[in-house]
Amino acid sequence: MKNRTLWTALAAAAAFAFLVAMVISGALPEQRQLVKFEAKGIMKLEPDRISRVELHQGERKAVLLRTSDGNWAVQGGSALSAEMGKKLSLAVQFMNTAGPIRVMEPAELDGTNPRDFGLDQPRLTFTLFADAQPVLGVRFGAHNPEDTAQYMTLDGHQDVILMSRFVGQEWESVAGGVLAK
Amino acid sequence: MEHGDIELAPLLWFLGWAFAVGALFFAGLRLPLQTRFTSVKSLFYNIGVVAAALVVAALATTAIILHDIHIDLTREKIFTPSSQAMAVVDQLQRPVRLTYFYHGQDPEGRRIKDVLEVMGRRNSRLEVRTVDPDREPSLALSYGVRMSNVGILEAEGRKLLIQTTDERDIAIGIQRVLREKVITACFLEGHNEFPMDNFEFHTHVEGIAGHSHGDASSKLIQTAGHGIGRLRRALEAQGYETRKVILATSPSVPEICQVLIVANPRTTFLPAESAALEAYLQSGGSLFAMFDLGFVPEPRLAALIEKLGVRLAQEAVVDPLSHYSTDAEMVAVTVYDQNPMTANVSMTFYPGIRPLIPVQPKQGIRVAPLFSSSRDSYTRPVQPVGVREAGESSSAPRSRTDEVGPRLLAVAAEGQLPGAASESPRFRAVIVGDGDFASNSFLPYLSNGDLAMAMVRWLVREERSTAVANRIPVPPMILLSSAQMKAIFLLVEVLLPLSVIALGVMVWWRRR
Repeated sequence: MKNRTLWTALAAAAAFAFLVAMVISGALPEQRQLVKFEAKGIMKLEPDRISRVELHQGERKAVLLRTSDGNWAVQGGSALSAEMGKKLSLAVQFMNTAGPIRVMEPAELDGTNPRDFGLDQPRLTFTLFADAQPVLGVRFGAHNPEDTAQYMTLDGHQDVILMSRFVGQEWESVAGGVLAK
Repeated sequence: MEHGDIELAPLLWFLGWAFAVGALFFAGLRLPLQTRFTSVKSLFYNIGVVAAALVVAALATTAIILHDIHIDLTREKIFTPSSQAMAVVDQLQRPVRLTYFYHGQDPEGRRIKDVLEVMGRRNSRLEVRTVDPDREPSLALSYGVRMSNVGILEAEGRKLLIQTTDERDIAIGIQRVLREKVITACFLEGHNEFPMDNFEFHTHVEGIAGHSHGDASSKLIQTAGHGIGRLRRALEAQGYETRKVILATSPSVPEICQVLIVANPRTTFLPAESAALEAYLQSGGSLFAMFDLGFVPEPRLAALIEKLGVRLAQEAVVDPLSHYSTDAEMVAVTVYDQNPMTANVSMTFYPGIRPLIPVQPKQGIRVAPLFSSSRDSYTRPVQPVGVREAGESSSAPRSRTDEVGPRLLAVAAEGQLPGAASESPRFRAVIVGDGDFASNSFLPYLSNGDLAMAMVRWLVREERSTAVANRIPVPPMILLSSAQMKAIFLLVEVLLPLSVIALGVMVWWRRR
């Protein structure tokens, strides 16, 4: 084989290899309709494993237990209505599926007034248990100025979380139904 | 700024891709066409070559799709922040406080925060405070702010709220909050002028064959379908109030009007209306008159216009040297007389414009030409208050009485009219022989909008402040001259296919 032909073949092979490398290293632009759902909530545990919920609003408190048939009941009391049980299950599920809009770390909170977030006197507090062990303790505070999100903190963490308002609304709806009794 | 940056890695991938495709192409050219194989082997060889070519083509296409790159090559750098906002800040003479509530999660919000902080560092008179409302909710609520990407401008006891992530809107806001009086631009109606409430516009299709507007009424350049709502919106974006004035139902031009805009009247004025217009100018008013083809001023109005130093000719300017696209009656202007209105204006165009004939103005009135057509232009007569067919231009007869040469197209006048009280302020007037250039269909293109706005700014005596253009959203388009269109046609439709054939012939010739 002549030298020139050899060089041409080598150049062609190198160019081909380069295109292959581009295909391997590249990625299609992500299209929203093709994005696979991924639970991005603050609770990694499967929601079905939550068996006990302790709910506080001001001085009022309720303990809710999951029954063997998957429904919920007030500790030492009657079972929740099907609608209220569904709401509670949905609220628990949100902690697994709904991701925070924003997490403000302590360094980012320097110079701010903690009272502004309404977390010193939370609107609602609850703790989730799995197998009698506390899994997650949450405090919900005020809404943000845009009224689209709600400030929230987790037990044992200094961060202030902005969570979509519908999550807190679902919990407040449960609290309104359960603590009114 | 982040929009203007070019990412190096994708650019290197692209250059490598172009090199690799080129190398494979030239390697392919060296493949033997006649192999001296047996017929079966030759068949397999040829199938293999075709298959390899297809694989390479698919690979190259896939590779380039998977390595997308964004480069802002627009001449106007529309994806790059403008310097106009900086000019406004540089000229700031009085203190202004800007409290901007940005959305911390929004890239545009973070970008404008950085830009505003740069603006704040540029001039100590601009006090900039950027606030993340999610971090400081009580401050946001104290301002009554319930949304993000909002700025509160405060100066001399005045407050202005602006919702934007464009620093140019902030710059306009700074000018607005510093403005000590409300400026009202009045649009005259009652003579079939372009309505200020009409936002309809036509799309423009330029082809080698000529110009069209893309709809049924497209054969008429002057059509009731054109409004002037876009100019009205542009004025309102500058903080001007706008209102409609119908002189037939009011004895005079309202005092509140800092400028009276007369955009393409089609029916004649009543003598009393002309008198009201003259009285308005005598009292120091400002007139922006766009008298399009065919409009006939009644005697008193014609006399007033002559006092301002021009007479309206019943002709249309044809400019074979300087025109937009292929229509010689779409006169394009690139050179202007020296004037604050035209200082920063590039190319403008006028779809059917009448020449203005200079006459001696009345004593005490100073008249300045603004722009003219090119030295090759001439005129053709037009019928009064008619419509002009777009396709007429090529066959239009040259006026027998007019020589070839530049024609005056717009003037500015300033001074005191006879009969004005000695203590009354000087009037200002701009007269243009066309109204279409400021209509909805043509305002956003080239520098038409900049010129129309500059004229209004001069008329309301704001010419000293920095002009900040607000964007009028229009479909993206590439403006090409007739010569450029022909060159592209020849290159893509003729030369490119012919070159493929020529290359094939050349390869065959060398290897036969």
